[in-house]
Amino acid sequence: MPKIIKIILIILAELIFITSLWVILPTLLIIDRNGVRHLGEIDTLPLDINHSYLQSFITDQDNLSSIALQLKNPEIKSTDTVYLQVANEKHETIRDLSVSGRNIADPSWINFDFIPIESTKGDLFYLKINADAPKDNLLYIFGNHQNKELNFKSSYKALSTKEALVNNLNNQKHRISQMSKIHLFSYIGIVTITSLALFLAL
Amino acid sequence: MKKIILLALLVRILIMPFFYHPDIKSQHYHFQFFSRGVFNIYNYLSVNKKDLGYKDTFNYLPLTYYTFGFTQTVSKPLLGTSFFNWLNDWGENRNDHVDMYYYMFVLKLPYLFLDFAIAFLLFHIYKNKKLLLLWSFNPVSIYLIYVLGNFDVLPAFLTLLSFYYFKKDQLLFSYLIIGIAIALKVYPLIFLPFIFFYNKKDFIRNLKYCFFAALPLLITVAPFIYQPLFISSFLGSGLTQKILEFKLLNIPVFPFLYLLILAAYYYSKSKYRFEIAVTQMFFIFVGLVAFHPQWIMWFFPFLVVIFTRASLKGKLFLILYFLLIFSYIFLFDDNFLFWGHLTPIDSAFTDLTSPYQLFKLRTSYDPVYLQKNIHNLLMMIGIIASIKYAKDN
Repeated sequence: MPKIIKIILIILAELIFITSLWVILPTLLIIDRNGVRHLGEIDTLPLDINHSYLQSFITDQDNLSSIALQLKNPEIKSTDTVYLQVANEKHETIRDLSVSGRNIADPSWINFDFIPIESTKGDLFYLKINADAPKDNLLYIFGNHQNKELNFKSSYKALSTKEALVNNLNNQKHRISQMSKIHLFSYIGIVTITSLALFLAL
Repeated sequence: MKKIILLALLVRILIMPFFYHPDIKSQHYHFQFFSRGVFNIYNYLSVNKKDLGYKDTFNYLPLTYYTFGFTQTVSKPLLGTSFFNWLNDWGENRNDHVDMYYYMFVLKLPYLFLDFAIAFLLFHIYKNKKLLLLWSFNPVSIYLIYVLGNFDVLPAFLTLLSFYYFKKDQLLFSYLIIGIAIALKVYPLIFLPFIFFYNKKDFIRNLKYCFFAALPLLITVAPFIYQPLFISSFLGSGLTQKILEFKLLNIPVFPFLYLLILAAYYYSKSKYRFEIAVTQMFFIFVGLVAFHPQWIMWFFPFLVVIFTRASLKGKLFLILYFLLIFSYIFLFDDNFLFWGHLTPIDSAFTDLTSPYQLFKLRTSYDPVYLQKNIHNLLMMIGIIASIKYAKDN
């Protein structure tokens, strides 16, 4: 086989490998992505018919598809229901979800998955949370006693392969922009030198 | 030869950065204290536990700590301060960092040298180019060394080096080097009787030199031997318990089969009796022990020799056996043994559905039960294969 063909094959193999790892696999497999979240609150706020909460957030990706809340069901006694309403900036309810206390551990993150909302990055959403527990000390949500900020996580779903590809490329672009340039160019340099040494040896 | 080495190097350089397992972070978290002047890691971790981000004990021998503490210290200029920020981050983003690919590349450089050292040794011992090719491009050793990123490649290299010196009749070096391997990780102890009984006629000579195998372990462990913290940390690693776990009529099976293999080995006249015995040990080990994937590395350099010499049927058998091993590994309820390896590319890989979760969600079949069945199958096949190799031996 002529040397030039071997070199082309090796370059092609390298490109296919890098493309598969960085573009194809993530595009095909990573449909859901974690987005904006608020964590770190350690207070437990009562969740019952007398206590409801409102949490707002601005999306950092398109197509909101899941909200996770950190709940607590002491000794997993309560079988009451926790309700979550996802509302838009006009406070119109878009998604209505619930979970039984039977599925809430002490404590646990509970995922409320729903049909993706065709939202865009930068949209304002409200989370309205309440429960039908008759009194305090049955169910709790993690948050801040003073400002009532709640612990939550948001997830987003690509609605098509094209969208997943765009999300992936944006994500990789963002990652690469944050990488140390010295590290990046050092690594690329090592790969290039090794490849050149191989080409010369062929 | 130059082309093979360069191509093998290129493959490894492309793979090294992009695969991760949290073990490499937790190990290097402990190794960092070496450059801060901590001599007794066991005591240090116990005393400072409440202030540490990662609270697990150091479950390896002292020489492991000093060796990789040293390599990390030497790599410091390459790693930079942001590495240590990531190393000490045990919060939500502990397994994510934009420069993780670079850290994985640098941290695995010692393994790269050892990998090529094994290739060089195998070629030197067996003078077989096919063996060099097989070692350079087989997916199993690449997975064990660069995807799992554990340090078992070092004692594996030293065991092979010990065998090399043994074949050259340099017994002092042979026993000393396997002694260093034992001082890093205890498992090479299981190869020691096979080195001792390799030449039946040299019993007295072997007796004279075999005590050198104990020296590195005694020297490195001596300062800690009376410390309960060291004893509890080290025994916490669980290898001994795992080896003795499988019992029939309340008798551990592994030691019994081990002695059978040793007896067959003693009477064998085959030129490759050592490699065959290691392969037999590998089969019973995989079948009887709830092994960690990286432990396969202990046997693998010798397995490759057997593979090279095997008939087509033998080769196919070994390939299928390893496919079964990998299906066992991928069924662990640990996404870092599957998609999670790709975290340096995108941290969202950690959240993907693992094969274990997929089974649980999509089938009524319990993946734990399936994994157990695969393990039992590995045990049955392993014992049959072991007997077949004994007959051929």
